[in-house]
Amino acid sequence: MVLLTLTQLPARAWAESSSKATLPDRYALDVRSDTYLELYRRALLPGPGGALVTTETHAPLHEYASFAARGLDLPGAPDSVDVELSAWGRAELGNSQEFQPVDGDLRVANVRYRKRGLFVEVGRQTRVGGAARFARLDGVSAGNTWDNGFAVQAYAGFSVRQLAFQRPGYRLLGAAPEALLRNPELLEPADPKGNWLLGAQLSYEKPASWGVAATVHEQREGGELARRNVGLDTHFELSSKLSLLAATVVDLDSASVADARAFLDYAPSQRFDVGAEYLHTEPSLFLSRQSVLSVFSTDNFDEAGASARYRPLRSVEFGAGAYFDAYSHEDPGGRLEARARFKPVGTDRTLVMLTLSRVRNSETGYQALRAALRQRLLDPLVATAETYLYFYDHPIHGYESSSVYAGTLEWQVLSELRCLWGASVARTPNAGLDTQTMLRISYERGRRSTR
Amino acid sequence: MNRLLVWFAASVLLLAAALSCTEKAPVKFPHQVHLADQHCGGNSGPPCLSCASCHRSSADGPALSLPRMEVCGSCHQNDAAKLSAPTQNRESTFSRSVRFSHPQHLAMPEVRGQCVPCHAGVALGEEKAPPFPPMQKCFSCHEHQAEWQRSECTPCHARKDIEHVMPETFLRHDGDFSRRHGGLARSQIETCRQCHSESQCNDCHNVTEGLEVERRNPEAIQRNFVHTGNFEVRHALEAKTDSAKCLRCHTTDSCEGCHLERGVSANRLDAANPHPAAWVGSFPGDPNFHGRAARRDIAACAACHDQGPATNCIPCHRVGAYGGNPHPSGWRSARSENATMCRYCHEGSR
Repeated sequence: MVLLTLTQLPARAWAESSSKATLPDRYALDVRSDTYLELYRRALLPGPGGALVTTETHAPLHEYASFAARGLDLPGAPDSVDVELSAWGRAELGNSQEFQPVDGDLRVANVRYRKRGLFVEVGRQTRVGGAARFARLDGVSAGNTWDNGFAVQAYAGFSVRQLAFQRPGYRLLGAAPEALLRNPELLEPADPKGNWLLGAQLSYEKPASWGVAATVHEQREGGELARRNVGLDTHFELSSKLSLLAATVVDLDSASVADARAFLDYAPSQRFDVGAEYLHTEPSLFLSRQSVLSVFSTDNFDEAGASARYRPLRSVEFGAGAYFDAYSHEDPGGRLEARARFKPVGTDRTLVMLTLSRVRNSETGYQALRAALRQRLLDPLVATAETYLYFYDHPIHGYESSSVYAGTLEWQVLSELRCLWGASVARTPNAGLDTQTMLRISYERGRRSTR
Repeated sequence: MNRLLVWFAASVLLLAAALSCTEKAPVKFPHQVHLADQHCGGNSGPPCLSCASCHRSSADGPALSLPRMEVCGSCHQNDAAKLSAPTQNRESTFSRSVRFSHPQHLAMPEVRGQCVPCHAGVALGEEKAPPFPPMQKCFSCHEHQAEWQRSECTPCHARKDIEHVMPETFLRHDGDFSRRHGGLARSQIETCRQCHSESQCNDCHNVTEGLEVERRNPEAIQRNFVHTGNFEVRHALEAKTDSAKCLRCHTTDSCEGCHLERGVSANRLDAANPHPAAWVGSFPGDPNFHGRAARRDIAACAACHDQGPATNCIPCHRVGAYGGNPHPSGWRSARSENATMCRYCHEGSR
């Protein structure tokens, strides 16, 4: 809520400053704030037969704030600078000992300069690309795209490590001594200077036709090798109705394919589309090379399947998917899903969804039913209701099924301001009764101009 | 109890269906009847119509102007009272956001004043062709590749629109897009940035957040979130179907954080042992199940047992210990045994 007020101020200032300009400028400014107040009680596991052991009351207050400006001017270089800043924070108002009283992190904080196809970006940023997968770094990246379709990018910086679940005294490789760590003397404080990464990407893109990208990514933990991958991603728009996408990541340390996948999508009409996909993966290669466990397995996992979507009427959609899973030296498994969706054409009042699914692995599985409804009650008031039912092949903690009921009520107070109240009730193998409630206040404001 | 739950779900659906029946979709203008199906001409029939009979070209806009009521009334003289003024189709918002000059295009020699090459679906029906030309149609005539390569959409699209409207033809997010968007983003990330900020990627992919994306957006029932329902209960079961699925987003640190708190981590001496009897044999020849399970699902082991030099596999499986060589057949590494992690087991063997 505090940020909600603060975020209004810069937006107004920019609006006033932009109005003084003699020529219309091309820019975009966006501010967003989401404040969450949750209230629930949590009983930690394990207990005999899933019984509740200790109960804590949680009342976390979360704030997410972001600001983005695109097309800012430099002397002699109009519309050349983008700035993005995003952060979250949390304060624990309940009696929970699980989380730190106050926590938070920067999600994104960078400045990007661009001129025609060239860009240079400095700060906390995200790089995605075959070998990098999803890498976050505090560093610099740069690249250039030529008009003939070729592009090159490179990045380097310190890895942004996970902060989630950090508690006082908790360290990367385990827990604090007070958590009865087996061999605390073996743990040395991690040196953040040894956690760095770098990578590069070379790509070619022919618009509306095909594209290919080759990437290399290396990541270090404590100065030692964590990942050294190369990736190849390609996609083909074979026609306006048929597209093919393939991607692979190879771990250079073991000279093995860590991940390979292919998607074929065919959409002969707006009423019907079908897709087939294949996935091959070696799970141990997703572990850091600094994990002892990464050298214990070479077993593979393969999945092949297809999904289809059919709209007999513009307001009704049916979908289905079936996937076959094959494991090394294990019985096969699979997934099935069927869904129906109803949304009247031309209106935004109602959405009804029903999903049935079946999951089976080599040992066990479950069936699930999900029903969801969204209904605009009044023009500024929208309600949703959801039901999840799960039926397990083998009982979990003695329970053969679990159920979750959730609902929300959202009120659009102003065009920039929305308030949402949500609540859920659940009965699961982990809790005989789980009730939660949440209040969300969202503020979003944007200002933009195009010449 | 289960039957009661199913009845409850069915009741919710019936209620939803009843509510949705109160909806009234707007009437869609029968273009096909007017342009193709109607018998016209001659002495008895009405005049044959073309697109230009009703629509007039706007100077610099994406859409031709809608006809006034008088234009309809020139033919529908007897039933004019039943007609309502034409309105813009709500679903064509994206098409309206394109900066496009109809007069310039109609004057091109390739087009020769014809509407049908781009708008065939209007006359033939949407089953045979889309009413609005797909973006590939634009690329078939124009040299817009330079803008595309620089990922500049704004010459043709207004940014304020492309940021809030889903693409309908090219780059469309249909089908199972959520499953394949990562592959597209890998080679087209600059194009993605035209509409999406890094914060939006982080909304779902950054697992260091304080609040999961499903909890932040409980009203988004149409989105295919991964951790919906009672995922905390199901997560071990889901992980078993594809153990790499978790590791694509999470590191083992995030498993450990939760498991430690709930007392199911190897880091806690007071933790309850979740493994069945004979999981680890004490003597040669004893039943010993853990090795096969580790081969099959090493990521599940790592969720609790990944403590670097403190990992409890090392005392038994280090070189010279009684656990034997843990490396499976076909395993290889380019690293030397001097690498820090290798020395945990190989220190005394060199």
